Amino acid sequence: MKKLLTISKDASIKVASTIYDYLAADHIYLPIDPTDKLLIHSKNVTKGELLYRHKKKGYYSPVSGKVLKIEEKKNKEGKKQYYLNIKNDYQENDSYAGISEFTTVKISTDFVKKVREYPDYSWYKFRRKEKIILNGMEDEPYVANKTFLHKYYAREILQMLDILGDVFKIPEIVLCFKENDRESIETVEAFIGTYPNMSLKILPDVYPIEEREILSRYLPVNDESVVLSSEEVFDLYREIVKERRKDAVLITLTGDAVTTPKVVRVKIGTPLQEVVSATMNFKSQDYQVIVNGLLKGTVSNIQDIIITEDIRVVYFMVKKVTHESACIHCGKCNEVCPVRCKPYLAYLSQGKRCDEQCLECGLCSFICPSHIPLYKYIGGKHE
Amino acid sequence: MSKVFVYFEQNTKKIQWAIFGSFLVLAFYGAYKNGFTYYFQGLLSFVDAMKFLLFPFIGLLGAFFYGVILSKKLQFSLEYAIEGVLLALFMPVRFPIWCFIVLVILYFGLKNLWQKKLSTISLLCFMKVLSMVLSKFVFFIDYQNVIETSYPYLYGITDAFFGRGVGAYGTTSIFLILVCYVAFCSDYYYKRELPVYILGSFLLLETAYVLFVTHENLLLTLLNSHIFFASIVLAPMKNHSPAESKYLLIFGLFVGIGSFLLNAFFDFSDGIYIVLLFAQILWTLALSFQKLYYQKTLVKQKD
Ligand code: SF4
Ligand code: SF4
Repeated sequence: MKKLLTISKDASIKVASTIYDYLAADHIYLPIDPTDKLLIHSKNVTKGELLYRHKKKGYYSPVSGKVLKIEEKKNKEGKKQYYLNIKNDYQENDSYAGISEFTTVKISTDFVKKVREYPDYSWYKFRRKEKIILNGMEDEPYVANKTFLHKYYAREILQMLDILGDVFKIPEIVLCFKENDRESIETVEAFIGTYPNMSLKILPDVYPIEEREILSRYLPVNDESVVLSSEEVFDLYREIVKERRKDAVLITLTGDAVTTPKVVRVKIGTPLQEVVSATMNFKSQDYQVIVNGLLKGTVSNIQDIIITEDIRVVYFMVKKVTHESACIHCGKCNEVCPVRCKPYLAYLSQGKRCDEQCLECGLCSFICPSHIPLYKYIGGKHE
Repeated sequence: MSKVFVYFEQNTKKIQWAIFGSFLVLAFYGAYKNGFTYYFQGLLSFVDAMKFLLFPFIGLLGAFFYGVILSKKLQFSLEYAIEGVLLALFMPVRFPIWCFIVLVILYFGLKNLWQKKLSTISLLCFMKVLSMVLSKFVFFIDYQNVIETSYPYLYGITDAFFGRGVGAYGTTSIFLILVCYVAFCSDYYYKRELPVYILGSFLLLETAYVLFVTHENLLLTLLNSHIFFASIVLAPMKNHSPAESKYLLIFGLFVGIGSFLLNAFFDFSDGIYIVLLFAQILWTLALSFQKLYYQKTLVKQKD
């Protein structure tokens, strides 16, 4: 088995020990296509109200307030994007009753029906499966979303997994954590005893273990298993058991330019600039904003970032000048590639090569002593 | 694909100091072995013994002149210093100092241009081969020092291992070279498997040859300091050997087998430098073909 790499981390970048909330955005911006039909009856909307459907996915209002207009803004990739602007009235009027306390769910026929018919979720992936694998790991350095989720909601996550096992008749549930995430392991260990169908799997802190291809080297991940992330399971719990729409996400705001990195709970559709002004302090002002990963992220303009469900981490990294120099033929790019692609050869050809197997994990560029941006020469299916 | 914003970092300065330090140890050992031991035995004057320190000193002076004064850099580059001492290490002990100065000037003068045009061929290796040619055909000297040429000597296995044997100025001690290997291995980018391929193939063939053909003292024949030095220090240097593991293996075997052939059949104990240079030239050519081939396949992929 090919040896995988552990990404070394700067010990001084330590996330604060509690979740911070920023749930009071003045305006919420939800990405919309001008052709999407608004499904609201009046301009005043309640929290959790279905606003429109885009590519079959329902978009629900994360706040109660007034729908203003569709605006054109730049998105995090710097491209033009339309957003539906909702003015928050801070009333948090909820269209769902919601259940506030932790409840033990009884698996009745009605409940099974409710799960199976729940919209906006592809339940077919649970069909004829033998095992659910919970991915409780974070690949990208300094991200702590899942650790905090486990810390506060381990009981709920395990309950939802148990429900899924019962509803879809899946006998085995494996919970995967990285060996260095002691906090998650200890929290989950406190609850796992009540679930005989669940087992714990501690995996090494190697990159990119979250990728299915890599995970399958440590435990059988095949057609008979379904992999779910902790966030996905918790969202299902909230939506199905608590009957609340997802209105907020956890994001890690970190980097060597900030004084204290934090995990912040923030309403979907909030401009990042607002969150940062309200929650973060900086050691250095000369930073660049990187979204979703130091090894596979994109650099972005802070004004252009609207919090969406796909943003998990924003890095504020002190700008460093890295010079690209000539290849020294060390071969490390080929050596570290977890799926045995040949980035070195792609570089030799000086053109963009598409390799079906490439995970776009960025390890080859990370390891290159000449700082050659190998991602310019090799890419995977997404190219 | 998205960008990468962090890079693997190792403490390059620390590694360079470790390499520089180990080279200095080799250089001091060279001065001790070829000069001071004889001075203590009353065979050399103190001044003559001190002369041996001139080799690394000139190398360092050249490095300082080119690396600081000519390039107008304020900081002394360790890379230059390492190369300056390295040049001294593989010189025959009786190599004329004036000619060594010329080689140092030539080396540092050519360094930048060579790196631009012929980056995959080692200029150090080229300089070594040049010094071998000059020694053999112009100065008619071998690797013996003045005392070794005048007194009969018989070296044992421990002598050969610890460096009392005949060899270039700073390369006789296999023990110290192996210590250098440990220092080099702290560099993540050092191709540690290459010395294994070269030494493995050379030692295996040489063993078979000695056992079945010459019946000489096996261990003494195997302890060839040129092979150890070139395979551990010169061959794995950045830029100068293939990146892909299978080609690196071929490269290593080629150098190992070539060195054995030159050593066994042409009595070139230091033939490894020639083979290494030749292997680098061949690899450079192969690399150009490989580039062409991949560019062509890329065009096809686009089609
Ligand atoms: S980005 Fe692609 S080629 Fe580079 S290491 Fe990852 S999988 Fe391999
Ligand atoms: S890691 Fe960089 S320097 Fe090393 S072979 Fe690959 S491209 Fe060349």
